[in-house]
Amino acid sequence: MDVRVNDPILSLSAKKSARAGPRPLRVEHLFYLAALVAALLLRLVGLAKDPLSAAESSAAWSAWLAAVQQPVAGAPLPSSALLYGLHSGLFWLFGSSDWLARLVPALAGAATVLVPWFWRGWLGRPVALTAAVLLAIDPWLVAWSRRADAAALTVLLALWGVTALWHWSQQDEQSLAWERVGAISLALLLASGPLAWGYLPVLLLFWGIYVWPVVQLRSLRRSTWGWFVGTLLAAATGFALRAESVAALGRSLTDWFIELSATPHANTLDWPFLRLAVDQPLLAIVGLLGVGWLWLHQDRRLAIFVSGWLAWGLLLWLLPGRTPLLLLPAGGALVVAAAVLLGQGFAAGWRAFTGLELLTLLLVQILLVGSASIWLAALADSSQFDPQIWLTSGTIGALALVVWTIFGVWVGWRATAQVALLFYTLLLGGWTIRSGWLLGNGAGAAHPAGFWSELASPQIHLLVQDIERLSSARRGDPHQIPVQVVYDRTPDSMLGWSLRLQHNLQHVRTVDWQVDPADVQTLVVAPAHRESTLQLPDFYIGSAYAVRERWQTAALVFSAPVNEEENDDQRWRARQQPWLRWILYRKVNDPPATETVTLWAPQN
Amino acid sequence: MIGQFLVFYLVIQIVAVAALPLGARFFALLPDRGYAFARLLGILLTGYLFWVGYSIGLWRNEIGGAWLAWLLVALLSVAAARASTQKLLPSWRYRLLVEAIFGLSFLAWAWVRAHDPAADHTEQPMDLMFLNSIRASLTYPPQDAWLAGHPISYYYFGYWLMNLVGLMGGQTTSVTYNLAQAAWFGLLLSALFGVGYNLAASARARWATVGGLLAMLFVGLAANLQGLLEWLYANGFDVTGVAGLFQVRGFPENAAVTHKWYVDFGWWWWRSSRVLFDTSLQGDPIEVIDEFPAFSYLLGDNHPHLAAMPFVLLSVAVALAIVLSPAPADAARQRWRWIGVFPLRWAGFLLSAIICGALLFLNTWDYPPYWLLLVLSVAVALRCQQLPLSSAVAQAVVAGGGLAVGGGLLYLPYFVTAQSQANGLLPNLFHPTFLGQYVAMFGTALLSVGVLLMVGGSLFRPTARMLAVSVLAVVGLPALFLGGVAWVATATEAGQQLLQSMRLPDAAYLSVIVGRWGERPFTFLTAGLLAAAAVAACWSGLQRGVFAEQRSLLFALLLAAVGLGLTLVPELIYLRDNFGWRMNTIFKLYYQAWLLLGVSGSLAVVMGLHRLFSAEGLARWRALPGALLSGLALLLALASTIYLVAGVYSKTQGFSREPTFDATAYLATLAPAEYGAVEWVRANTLPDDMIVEGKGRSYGSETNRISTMTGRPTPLGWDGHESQWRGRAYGMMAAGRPEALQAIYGGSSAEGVRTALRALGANYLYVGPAERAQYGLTPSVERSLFDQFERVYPEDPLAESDVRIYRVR
Repeated sequence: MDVRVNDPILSLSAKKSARAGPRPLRVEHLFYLAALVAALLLRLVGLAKDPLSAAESSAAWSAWLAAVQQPVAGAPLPSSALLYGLHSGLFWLFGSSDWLARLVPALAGAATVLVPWFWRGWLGRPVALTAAVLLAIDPWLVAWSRRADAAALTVLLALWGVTALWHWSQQDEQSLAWERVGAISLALLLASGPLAWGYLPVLLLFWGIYVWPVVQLRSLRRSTWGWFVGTLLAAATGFALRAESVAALGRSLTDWFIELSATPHANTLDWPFLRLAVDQPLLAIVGLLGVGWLWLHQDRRLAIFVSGWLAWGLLLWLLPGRTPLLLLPAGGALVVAAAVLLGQGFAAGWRAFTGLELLTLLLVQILLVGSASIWLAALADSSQFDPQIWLTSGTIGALALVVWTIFGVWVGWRATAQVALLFYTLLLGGWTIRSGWLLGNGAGAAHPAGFWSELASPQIHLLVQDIERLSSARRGDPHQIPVQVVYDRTPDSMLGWSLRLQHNLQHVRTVDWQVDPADVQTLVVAPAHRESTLQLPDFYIGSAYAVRERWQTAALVFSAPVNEEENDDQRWRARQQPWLRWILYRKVNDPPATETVTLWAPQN
Repeated sequence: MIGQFLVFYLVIQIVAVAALPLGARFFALLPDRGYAFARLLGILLTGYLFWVGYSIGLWRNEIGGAWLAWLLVALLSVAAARASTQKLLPSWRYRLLVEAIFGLSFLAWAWVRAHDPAADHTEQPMDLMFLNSIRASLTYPPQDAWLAGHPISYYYFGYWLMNLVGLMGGQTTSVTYNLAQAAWFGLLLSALFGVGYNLAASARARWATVGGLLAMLFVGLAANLQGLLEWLYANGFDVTGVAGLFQVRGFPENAAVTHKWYVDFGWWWWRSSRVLFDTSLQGDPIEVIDEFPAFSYLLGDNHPHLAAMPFVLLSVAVALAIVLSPAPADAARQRWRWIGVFPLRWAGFLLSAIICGALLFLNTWDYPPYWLLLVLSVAVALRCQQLPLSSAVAQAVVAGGGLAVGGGLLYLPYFVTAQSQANGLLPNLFHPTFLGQYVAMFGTALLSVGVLLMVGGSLFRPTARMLAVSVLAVVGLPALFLGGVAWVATATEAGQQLLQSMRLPDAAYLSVIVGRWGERPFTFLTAGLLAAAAVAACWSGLQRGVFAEQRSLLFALLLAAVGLGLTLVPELIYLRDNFGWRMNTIFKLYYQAWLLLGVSGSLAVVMGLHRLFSAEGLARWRALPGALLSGLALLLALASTIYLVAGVYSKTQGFSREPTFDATAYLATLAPAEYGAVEWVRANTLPDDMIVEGKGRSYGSETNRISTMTGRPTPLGWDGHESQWRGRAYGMMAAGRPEALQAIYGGSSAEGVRTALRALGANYLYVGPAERAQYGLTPSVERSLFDQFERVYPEDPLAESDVRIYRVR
């Protein structure tokens, strides 16, 4: 039994859509278009503003090396054969840049918004549309889509796989096409990278709940296996019969295990929940309410599927790894649950009260929330804890609840709940969009988002420019000067990617590095901590550049040791205020730690 | 520690579940449907696919590749199960019993290993080095950490499989070392139970469970008779008379009467693995190894013979499944009848080639007997399907050829890098085995073989002609061969030249040969005549035709014949290796004979006792001798288990050590600075970085600690062992390295050190106590030689330590 059967309105619309053939442009199309445009904007604006991080550089650099057929010993290996193939193809066709490296995931992330279009028959139109909007603004998805990483591709393919499975389970005239689409999606998903292994249980669960009772595996057509194997072979070989790319399948599983395992940079246990509250308050509240709603009001299969998916996602949060990648599966389940509640809530109608009532209530609430926020901001900026401000802010918040109550008695509880749903959806939705913006665009040295434990410093661009400037001055070409990049264990992928255009670039391990005293041309880029051991000739001078920034939210707690004798003001300044300031503005007192390299250049 | 155990256990169970449906289809003809072998099949197939994928570059030696291989096995298994309409699982009772046997034996041995975890004696460092070398080799081929720049040249599949389980569970090699051994103990006992149960159940014996338990007892838990005598003597029993009959060297002279149930905390249990000895022409004793499973586990090495044992039983199970195969409906029309005897036909043949071929890679010595067993099983199965004996044999030969070629091709990447010390075969002219020593080794088994021959003889009734031909073939022809060789060796010039190396003062070789064989021909005759009797019984059974329930008895006779044959072989010939005498030949062949005779003995004892209890009247009297022999064998086997129990208590020093599974943890207490260096290397170097250490010394656990415990290659490890693994090629491969090491640690100029290090391609230089002692390195010399390099360990430049690592630039 589906949503549409339970709800006459949704049922009607879903049935209509099921019967519908090609139709002219409708409002629904415009909504999806708007969601797509929003998704594209959130993902593409300022896409190349920040340099590629180490992990992104690994993916992009390995593909670039393949595209230009330029092997480097010890260079990183791809963990997503699919992205590796797409990247190397793009780089081969259009050249390489940070923007291009991030384009494929950004487009994949935006395309995810269109997947719910195919859920209309399954979840109903309003729910599908709401899901599309939530996917468009989801801060985690936005953050991953703005990264040269395969996660956004994986999410797209996993959701597409779910879609194909549902349509296949309908066993109508289109089921053969969906069977093949499902096979292709699954094959691409397997080649898409580490996160794919986190979505396989979700697909398996969906299969068990929706498909297994209807279609047996043995009824799969032989040609479907052909599509699956052919696509997997093509994707696993990077679409260009690249043998080295096949190993990415095993590598992706290894990386998935690493994601799950404790590492020195793993986040604390409360981190995923903090991220949910700070980045996705809408999903945190409405999503969880949605799960309850599903059990109470919806068909059991959807409730079991979403709950199982969410449980799996939460289990991943509890494992020792706790990386940003592991946030995504649970986030997906909450999107579906929230979309069901919101979509049905909005579609249930607004018949019980007038526009004036609605407007009045909304205005009052906006006023109250606005004033409470101003007081809260004042509290966050004050150097000592002021209980008066705290009390005022709390009183205004309580007043908002009183207004809701009065309105409930006056107009009716159902209408009030709907207005509250709308109001808080807009409020928390706005907060969500802001969080997404902060994750994608707003982070900086004094504004660490704490989402990625490690980021590339903007100074790496400066390093590249300085090398090019030196090369232009000394060799007449920005890319001709000999450059040696010294590394300890494996070549630095960030430097490898950033300096890839240098024609005379060498990656040299510290143990193999030697300097020719007669060489007065070669620039040397070396980790700053190697300064004392390199033994460069005296005519070399060096300048330092920050290349990495490391910051995790745990720094907010552990930076200030607990002192039993501290008073309220000290406690406020040491712990509570930093937390509040970070949550409101992503501002910290101590900027992130940086890792630097030194550019050594011979004096002229 | 509990978590480590549980993870290991869970991984093995998950691997077993993946292979269960496939195993159930493949072993559908076995009464337990292969349930007891699912773990072995899962580990073997996952390990094999992982290794093949690794060898051809599909994935790297990483956890992801291992789990992908497992996924492939699971998919294959699901595909196999889909095509089946039969019941896939045995009864709940049986499943619980097998689970209990595996779980409890794994747990028990894990507890033992936790109290004796250090890999620091005999050849344990070598095993640890192989594990670490494999773990550190992300791409094919796995590098030999004791000979930098060269791949491992040893049958390393056992280490690979142990590494697989550890890798899948995210365990370090140091922990894997001990937990894998414990898991293998569980695998051995559960597989023994499975083989014993299936043999007895196929014979429609009512005591099938007892058969399984007896197989566990005879093969896995019992000791040879010397082990029992050792314990009796220590506890005050006068066994000198019996000991004199057995002629065991150093016993009881070197043993002590302690009146302690565990004897003492020394290595008293060691003597049981040296029951046999040969005598040189000058009269000096020559060491011969005669291990058995209880000793191997007590010693705690993870050697190939130990790693291979459970998989050997998997081969036995395949052979039994073949023997039990019924004739297909369209048998007469089939041109290649032999393929029909393999369960699942071509797929089953491929699986059989993987299972049997694995022995080439696990412990090459094990391959010939089990390949032969499979070929004989094919012949028996075809004959049981009413094919003429000659045709059955011809088709079995074709199947054997297919298995051999298939095994070779399936494990080709191993042969590409393998070298060997084997240099042909030599006739055993001078060292016939003392019968007393043979009996001390196989006394219990010989009793059960006697029972088996009684039962088999009474059922299949071989004719006198059959017996005579068998004796002629099994005893006469080899005797003729030895006589002929003796004549050639002593009467021809070429032969006499060959014997020059024996250095007999008066060159009276013929008289020595005749004298020694005249003095002790009885082992040859005993093993030969018993084997001939088993062959005759089999022959007769095949000639007369056997009922379905008699096939497992026929199979047990085959096992006994092959087992006895294995003890007969070293009486005639031995492998020409670096040692130059029979030590390894006896060790490797007796080990398999122990297993085969123990398994066949389990059925014999069940039948011997069962016949007594089920018969009535006169038949009961006729069954009495067999039952008495069975009872005696059972009594001896049960009594000899005190060896394992007391040995465990003794080896673990009464479980007095702090428990841990970490095989390298001992170093943290013994030499903290060296342990710190090991940890530094693990954390800061790449797996293929060459770290120069002083030249190693075989069995010297204080040498080559870095390469042993990290898998990072060093120029020269245990050179004696390297030479054994590589034969003549080793000299060329190691040429110049001892001199280079001398130039580095014992050199006189900094420039010379730098040149030598560059020539080796070294990344780091290690200086520890072993290097200082071996090369007489003083602090002032060290400063003058090595100060040119950056000292990276200890990391604190002010810290003083006698262990240092230099980064070589």
